[in-house]
Amino acid sequence: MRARIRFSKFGSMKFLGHLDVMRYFQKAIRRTDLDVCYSEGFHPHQIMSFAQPLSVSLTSDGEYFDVEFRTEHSEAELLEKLSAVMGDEFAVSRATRLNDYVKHTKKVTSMSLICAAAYYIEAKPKVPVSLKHIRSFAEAETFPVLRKTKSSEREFDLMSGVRELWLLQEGQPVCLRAAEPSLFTEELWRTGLAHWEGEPSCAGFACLVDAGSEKNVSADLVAGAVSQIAGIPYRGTDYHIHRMELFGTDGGKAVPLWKIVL
Amino acid sequence: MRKLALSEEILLQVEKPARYIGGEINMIKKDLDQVDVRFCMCFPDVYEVGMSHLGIQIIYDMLNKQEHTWCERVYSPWVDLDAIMRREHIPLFALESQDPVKEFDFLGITLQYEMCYTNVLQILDLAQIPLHSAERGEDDPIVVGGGPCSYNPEPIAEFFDFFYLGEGETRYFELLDLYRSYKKAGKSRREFLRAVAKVPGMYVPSLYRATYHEDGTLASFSPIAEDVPARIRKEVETNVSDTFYPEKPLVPYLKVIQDRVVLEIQRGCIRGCRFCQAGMVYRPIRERSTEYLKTLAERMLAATGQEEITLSSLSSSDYSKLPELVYYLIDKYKEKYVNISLPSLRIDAFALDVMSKVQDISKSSLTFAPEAGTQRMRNVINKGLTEEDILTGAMDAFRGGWNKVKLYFMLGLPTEQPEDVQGIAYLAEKIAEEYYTLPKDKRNGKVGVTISTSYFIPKPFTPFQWAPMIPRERFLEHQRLLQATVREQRNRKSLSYHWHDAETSELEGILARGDRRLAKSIEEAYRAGCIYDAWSEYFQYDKWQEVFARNGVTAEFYNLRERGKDELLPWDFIDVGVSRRYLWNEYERAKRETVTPNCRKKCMGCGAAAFGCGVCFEERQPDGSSVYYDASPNTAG
Repeated sequence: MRARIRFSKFGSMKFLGHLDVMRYFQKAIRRTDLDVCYSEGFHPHQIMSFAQPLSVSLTSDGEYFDVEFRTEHSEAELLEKLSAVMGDEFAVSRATRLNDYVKHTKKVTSMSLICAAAYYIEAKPKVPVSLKHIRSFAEAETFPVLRKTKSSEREFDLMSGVRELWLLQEGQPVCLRAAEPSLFTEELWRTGLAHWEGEPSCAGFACLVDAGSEKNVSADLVAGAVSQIAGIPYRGTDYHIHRMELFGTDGGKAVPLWKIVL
Repeated sequence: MRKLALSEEILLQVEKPARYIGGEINMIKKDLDQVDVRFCMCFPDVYEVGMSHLGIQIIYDMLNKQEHTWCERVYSPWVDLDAIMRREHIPLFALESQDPVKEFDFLGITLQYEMCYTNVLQILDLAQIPLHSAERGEDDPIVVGGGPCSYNPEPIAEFFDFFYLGEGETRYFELLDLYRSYKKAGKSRREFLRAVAKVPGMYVPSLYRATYHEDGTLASFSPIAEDVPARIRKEVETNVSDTFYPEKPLVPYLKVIQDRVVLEIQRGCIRGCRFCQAGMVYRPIRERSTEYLKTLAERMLAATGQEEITLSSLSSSDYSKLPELVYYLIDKYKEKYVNISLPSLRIDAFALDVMSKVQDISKSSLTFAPEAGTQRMRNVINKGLTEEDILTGAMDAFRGGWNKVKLYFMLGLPTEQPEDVQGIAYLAEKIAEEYYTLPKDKRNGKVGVTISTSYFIPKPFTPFQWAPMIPRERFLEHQRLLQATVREQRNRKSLSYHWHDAETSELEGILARGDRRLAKSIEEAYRAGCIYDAWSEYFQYDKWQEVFARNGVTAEFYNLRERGKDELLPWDFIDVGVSRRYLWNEYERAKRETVTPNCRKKCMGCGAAAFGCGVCFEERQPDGSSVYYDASPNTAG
């Protein structure tokens, strides 16, 4: 069977790189008695694929990998067995049974489904970023930014990739920039901040941005834009950034990856 | 979030921040209110090296079994963090609690190689603990040394409060109890160390005085008080099948050097190679029972999820039930895709069968360590591997599909002649020629033979402890001779030659057989900026040379002269079981090119039988082989 696992990475685990996280889960699965599938050959590896790498220094409640098992397991069993082997600052929150592969068709992975990501971004105390700057960012019609790749540098409009912007005020979401329908449901606020360790403050905001292979807006770029508006040079360590959720396209609609069984 | 000693700003500035956060799977956490003794174990090298060391994991597990003790870990901060910690006066911290090491009761430092000595000073300095034992006060941790280099602790003696000589399994609980009772009674550090000196295996350097002859050699070495023992015997775990072993080893997040479960199948070695310190100081060989090992393997793999298990020992082929153990592991873990690795295996039919089952032949290479190029030279060093063994082993392997061979040698061995050096190239050539005797359709492409040489360094407690090291110029000459000879061979295109740097070896030689007077130079080298000497990119030979010149430390005295039969050696106060008389006898046999049989063939009365365990109490068979039986106190007899 195939399963999609949703997990959280938080606390000091934010200092682990993507390769370390992959190795961690390979070993974690081996600490269970689950019959994970291996590739053929002299160096067999678990059939496992991660949805999207998370940069070092980010925490998250919306991480995913797909994995295959030789026999059937209930979602509850997967969740229970994986939870039993987690370290203190990793947590498994969902296990979704995926459709079986249809022979001779292209394999769908969570990575190929991704279309958007939700982040909570908060300026650290003493960083001179305030609600004012966030509001003026939300009001911007366009926001040209330079995106550097290995070979080139090109300008693009950040706002074209920012779908929604929200504030949390006294625990209540306040919409600054909306999409119809909004993906910031009550469920997202609850599950997306489960392991958020900051106290949502007035210099914090949530955003939904384009993600995936076609057009990817990193949370860094959004935080950088806010710094630019505040007139301070951008430093990654000025913000706590927490990924709340990854969304995939299912029937033309964006839904959290764990709701997709492809 | 768990408390971290370093700020996010710092952690994101340094390479691999995961080195400093702890929190690994199976890490031990304790409630400080329930703990009387805080122990910090240190491996003075970078995290990925230190985390690969079994000894620390054994002691970590063992000490944490004591409810009243919390053992934590610390490794050397890498050079990037080192600079930040100095600049910002951040005290060195332990990984578990992230608390400063200076708040601990004990700092235990394992000494695995001489080139880590400046890193020991880095640890003390960053921890804000005075470098010298004599300068430490009541609030400073007690600094303990252990591991192979403590068999000659003299060059670093003044930096340690005491050394634990021998195997860690036996005396730590006694030491902790002693400490707790002294602490409760409000006794001083000095009084505690005085009591430690009476615990078997413990060496408290401040309680001994050394004097020197005019020629620089040691004149006397003796305790300063009558109740301090003049000779200290190393500690030995006599029953290795019922002892401490981590069933839940730590699982690092970073890819460390030894990223696998380590199963130590036996301790000690029967071979008696004359250059090998481990082969002498870990005597007698003691096997762990196969049942014990099977249970350990199962528990460790379940608790870690590691995908590889390595069977560790000095010479795996000498483990009497190796096939039983290995085939059991292969069968049991095939389904779970656990890799089995077997270093230090003699190449024979069994080894080739196992290797064909556990590795990809086309990608792996076969390793031999003949150590010397001619039979004469191998007889001198008592490496009982003949040319025939090597050629037969290689040929069997070639038939099995291998086509890459690695050969390890030492240059500068006692009595070495140019012929011995050239013999290395000839041996490599013969192996290549063997390959081409195979019919073309049986060959797997071209053969590749890699020769690596290192610089022989005489070590304490070996028959060569009296031997001169050859001068650097001669060593380089021999390197060039070997390189030229390799180039003259018919199959030169199949041979490649790599050599080890001579400069680090010269320093290692001085430190290995040094005395107390070297401490000053080590400290000055550290003050001049030397750390990570074991890492060639950070080794600063010129600084060491400067410091040695200033202090009158010469390679002539420490490396190049032959020590006399009656010379008092700085490490002579340590009793490793193997006697000085035996070692001298072996040194003479070496000069006569006489081979000494291994422990299972014939007992040569080295002295290790005094420990009452292991091979010394196996029944020897009339044909020279021996049958192993459990030599634990209950069943021996």
